[in-house]
Amino acid sequence: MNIAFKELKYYKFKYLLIGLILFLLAFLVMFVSSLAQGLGKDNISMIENLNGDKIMIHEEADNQINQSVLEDKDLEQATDNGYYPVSMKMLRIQDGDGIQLLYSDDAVNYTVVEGHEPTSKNEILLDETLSETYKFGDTIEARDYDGVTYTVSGFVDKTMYAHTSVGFVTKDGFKKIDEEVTPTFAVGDKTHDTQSHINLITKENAMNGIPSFQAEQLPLNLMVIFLFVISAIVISAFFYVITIQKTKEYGILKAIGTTSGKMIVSIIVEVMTIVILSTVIAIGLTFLLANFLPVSMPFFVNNNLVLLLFGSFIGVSLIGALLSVVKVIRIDPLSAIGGE
Amino acid sequence: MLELKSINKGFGKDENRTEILEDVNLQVNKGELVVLYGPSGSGKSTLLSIIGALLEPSNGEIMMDDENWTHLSNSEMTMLRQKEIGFIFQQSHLLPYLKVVDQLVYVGTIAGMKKKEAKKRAKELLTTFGLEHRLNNYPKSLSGGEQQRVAIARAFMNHPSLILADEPTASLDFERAIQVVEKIQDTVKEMNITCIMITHDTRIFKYADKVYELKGGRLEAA
Ligand SMILES: Nc1ncnc2c1ncn2[C@@H]1O[C@H](COP(=O)(O)OP(=O)(O)OP(=O)(O)O)[C@@H](O)[C@H]1O
Ligand SMILES: [Mg+2]
Repeated sequence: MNIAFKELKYYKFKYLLIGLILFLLAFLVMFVSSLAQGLGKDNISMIENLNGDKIMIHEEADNQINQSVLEDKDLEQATDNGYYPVSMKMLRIQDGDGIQLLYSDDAVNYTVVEGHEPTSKNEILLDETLSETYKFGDTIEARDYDGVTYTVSGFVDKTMYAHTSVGFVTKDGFKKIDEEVTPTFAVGDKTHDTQSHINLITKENAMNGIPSFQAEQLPLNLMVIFLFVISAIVISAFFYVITIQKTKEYGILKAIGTTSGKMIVSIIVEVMTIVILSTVIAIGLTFLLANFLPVSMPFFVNNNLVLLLFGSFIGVSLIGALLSVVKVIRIDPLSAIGGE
Repeated sequence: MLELKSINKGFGKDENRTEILEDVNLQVNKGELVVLYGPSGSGKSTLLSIIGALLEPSNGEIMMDDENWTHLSNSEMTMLRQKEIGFIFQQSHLLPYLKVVDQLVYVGTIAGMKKKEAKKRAKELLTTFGLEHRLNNYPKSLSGGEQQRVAIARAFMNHPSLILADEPTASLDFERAIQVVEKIQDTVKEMNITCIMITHDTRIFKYADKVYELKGGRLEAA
């Protein structure tokens, strides 16, 4: 007979309360980490989607791919080694945010979610984050280049670099702002000897080269860690207090022959039931929320991360239950029931 | 047969030490009901706890049918309480979150019974002690006397070889007390088990096979 569930049922108010607190903590953890992921995507989604593991970049760019400029001989070496050159340039827009104007043959993987690829020099394929600002067929006008305009030919799934949406144009389209179509960096897989002023960096290096990425992730991740510490403390404190309140009941259980092992199992069953229920509800709510938030909102639910957080909650609550377990093992039945 | 051989028990250390039991000897046969009485503080409950594997004696030995019940580890003592002993405490000590029938079923299942079998036995015992209409009540909705009767029924649940009862009738009116003691006596005889009962009520003495008085730490036949 499992007394854990009978106990949960009998003291439901107490356990609902702790369940509610854990739900709020778990939801906050999910929310903050999804926000961190979302902000991360705003910074690095373009790098994530690069068609290769290595990036050829000028050493003076300091791992910031948009700061790099490749020379002709670098480019030659790049194409010889199967690297795709990319031309990328920040374009300021009249009455709007900037766009990373990008031209490349095959360097970036993306999925067109609306419309089509740019087919003429006047068309631009935008990151979907901008689908709230512009519609298919709208015209955007450059601020720094007189008379340069592009027509929106469609949208792709999230492709951003350093909080700036990427806009894909054809080679002729890029020529409208840079006659030379200067390559900025190149993407490929092969490791090879490079000119001394060229670095081959990993995607991770490139992500960490974005100043805003580091600046945002660190405090948010710290928050998540603190929330876990708080959860561990709340769980241990709450269950410890409940255990102390129930000292007499544990004394009775021991006096009628319940082994410590059985009592530990029932404590763990109780803690797990509450933690699993509250976190599952919190996770469900996070997924629901993600569906209702607009695409421009930096919010991304990473399934692997959710699993990791769920596992961490279980781990943290097991640690939290430890104090109660130790306490229960130490209870002397005779003194607990009032020593008569 | 239960046999206590010169049991000693004291509490405290050095100058604070008080000896409660001094050279207590006792033999109780199977199927026998023995009554213990004595002034408050004389150590009756202490003695019962020692026999009931809840407390270690300072000295002496407890033998149960050639088995030595002394110097056991904590888990060996737990197993004795689980399988061999039915303890009726001075207070009922029920678990607040279990319904009456589950109080007994729980004891049955930890002692290794199948749930169905435990349920059947629980209902029988509760009927014996006049609680068949209270099976699905929580302890808090029972009167003190009813709670005590549940505790008494619970003590028999695990087919114990030894029943220890610490003033089981204290919270019952005289008529009920007599009924309950008669039931305990019947069950003890029927199951052929050993029973030691503490009581202050001399009117109950007549149900005992033997009566002992605990006085000044020693046990004397009355
Ligand atoms: N754990 C303990 N530590 C110190 N002294 C104790 C302890 N347990 C019992 N005593 C003392 O031992 C003595 C005997 O206690 P016990 O409870 O056995 O008496 P009793 O005969 O059952 O009394 P009553 O009839 O009032 O129930 C008391 O003086 C009590 O204070
Ligand atoms: Mg007593």
